[in-house]
Amino acid sequence: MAKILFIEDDPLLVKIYSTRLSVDGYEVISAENGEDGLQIAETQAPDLIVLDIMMPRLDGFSVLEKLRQSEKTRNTPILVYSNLGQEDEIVRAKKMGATDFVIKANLSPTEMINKIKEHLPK
Amino acid sequence: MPISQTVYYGSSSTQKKSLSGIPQLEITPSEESINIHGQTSLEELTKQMYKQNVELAVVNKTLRVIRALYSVTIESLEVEDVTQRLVDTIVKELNLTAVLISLIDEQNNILKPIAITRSAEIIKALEYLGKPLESFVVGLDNLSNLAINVVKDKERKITGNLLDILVPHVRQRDADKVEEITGIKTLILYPILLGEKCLGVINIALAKKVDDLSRVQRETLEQLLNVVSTSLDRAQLYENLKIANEKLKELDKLKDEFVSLASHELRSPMTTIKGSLSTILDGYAGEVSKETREFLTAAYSENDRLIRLVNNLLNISRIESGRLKFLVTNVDMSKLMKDEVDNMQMAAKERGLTLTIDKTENLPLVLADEDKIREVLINLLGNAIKFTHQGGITVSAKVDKDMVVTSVTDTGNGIAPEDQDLLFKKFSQVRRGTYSRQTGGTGLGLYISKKIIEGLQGQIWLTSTVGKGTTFFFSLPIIK
Repeated sequence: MAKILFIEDDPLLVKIYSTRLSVDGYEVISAENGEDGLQIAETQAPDLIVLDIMMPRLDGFSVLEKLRQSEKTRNTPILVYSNLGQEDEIVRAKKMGATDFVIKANLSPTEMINKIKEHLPK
Repeated sequence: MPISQTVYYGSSSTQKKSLSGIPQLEITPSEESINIHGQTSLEELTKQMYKQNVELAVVNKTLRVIRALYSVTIESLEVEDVTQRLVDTIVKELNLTAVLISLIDEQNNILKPIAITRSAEIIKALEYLGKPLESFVVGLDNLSNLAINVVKDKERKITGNLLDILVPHVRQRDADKVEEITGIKTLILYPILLGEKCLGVINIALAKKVDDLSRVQRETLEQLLNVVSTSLDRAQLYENLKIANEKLKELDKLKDEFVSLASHELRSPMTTIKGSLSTILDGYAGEVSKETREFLTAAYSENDRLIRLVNNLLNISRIESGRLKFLVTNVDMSKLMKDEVDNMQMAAKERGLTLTIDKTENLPLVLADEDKIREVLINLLGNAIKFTHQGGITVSAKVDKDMVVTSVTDTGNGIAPEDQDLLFKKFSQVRRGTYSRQTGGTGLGLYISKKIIEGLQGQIWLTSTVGKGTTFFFSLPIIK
């Protein structure tokens, strides 16, 4: 079954998604800061990455840039998942290669999980 | 017969000042040139003509220089640039050795040299002194410097000693050396006045030892000072405006960043509340009793209301600053409607209302900003749920010419025609001028929705029957 990496510093959000996604048979792995996220993305080969922007150590934009430079994660779907979300930030993320930009508060977990399923490689 | 005063336009009988300060001539013979027998001799007339010709020449010259100075002020608005151009123009037009303009810096309480004639001699003198021009600032309280006295007394002063304007920066022998290099023998200092305000000092340097300028030069120069002061004032005002504008831009950027950050901070806890409640309600954390479900559902939809409020405030700040931007892509309205109806299902159930989708199959894609349209739909659904007490809400969409028209129909009280005009206006809820409202809300939702839909080349409108219900419509262009 597909492996989803959450690079997200809010442990409660990670818990919500790992609870729900594991019931559907997905494997959820997580990192609580950008640096760890990069390392796990390199070594664990996730099928999809959910990426927060405001995080300690390395912010989501820098992580996104590095993920897109890396051979291993160049084509992995990346859903930027943040409560930022002014047009400039969305445009910036998409220019940098984000597959989609999701404003956290606007989607319920069900909707977010639908988005994840939609973008998972078939 | 005395020499007629009319040669110099300081006289009163033959010269009037126009409003612009440019002298105007009256070409009539003066009384003295008419003899007692009422006859004018040819000699007198010739003299008269000659004098008036000279006068005309002076006025012409003045006008030409003034025109040159005006064009300086039109070509540039940077203070330093304007000042340098004024200096160059005055030197050239009046055949002077050098001109120096210093301006008052009120903030630092100093008189600061801004521009000087850039002749080989002046450059050499500055090299000799070993300091750039702008370093020769003088405190406005330093009365040993002649220029400061000009500022204080608001009147022109003349000196033969360069030291008078160079103190406290140099000693007498350096001043003498500068005199030797530049050949300057006389300095005439004029205050640059704008009404009662002194903007600075203009220093006129002559290579001759004289008590004063020639009268022609003096008259011309005094006329020019008006132009100099207004153009410098204009440039300074412009510069201040530019600085204020930069500051405003900076502030605006900070405000934008703050709003972005504040909304992030507000939305983050709401996200985890939303996620936690929905996870419990969806049964992932064990069984939920009917009563618990009721309370949690209420909490969930109230939290969603908060999220909508923050989103609307974020939108309003962007609309008000003229920075509502759209990310236009191909949007599938059927999917969007399904998402949002699912999303609001809980809020509808909580109030005992049905929320259903009607007729959305095979809709063409529209050109729109998905997130923004989502907000419009959430606003319309939120309103419908809020204002309907029994029955339900139906969402529908159909193609009309080159648009997809989406509608939200409720079975609420309906809206009276006189209230319909107010709906799309800002703070429509507040406008009623009373706090005794039946429902909550800022009254921003429909105003924002209208701005969004119109920004996306669509329209928003409603039909309503009091007692039966209301339908809101919005149209969006189908992709070509």
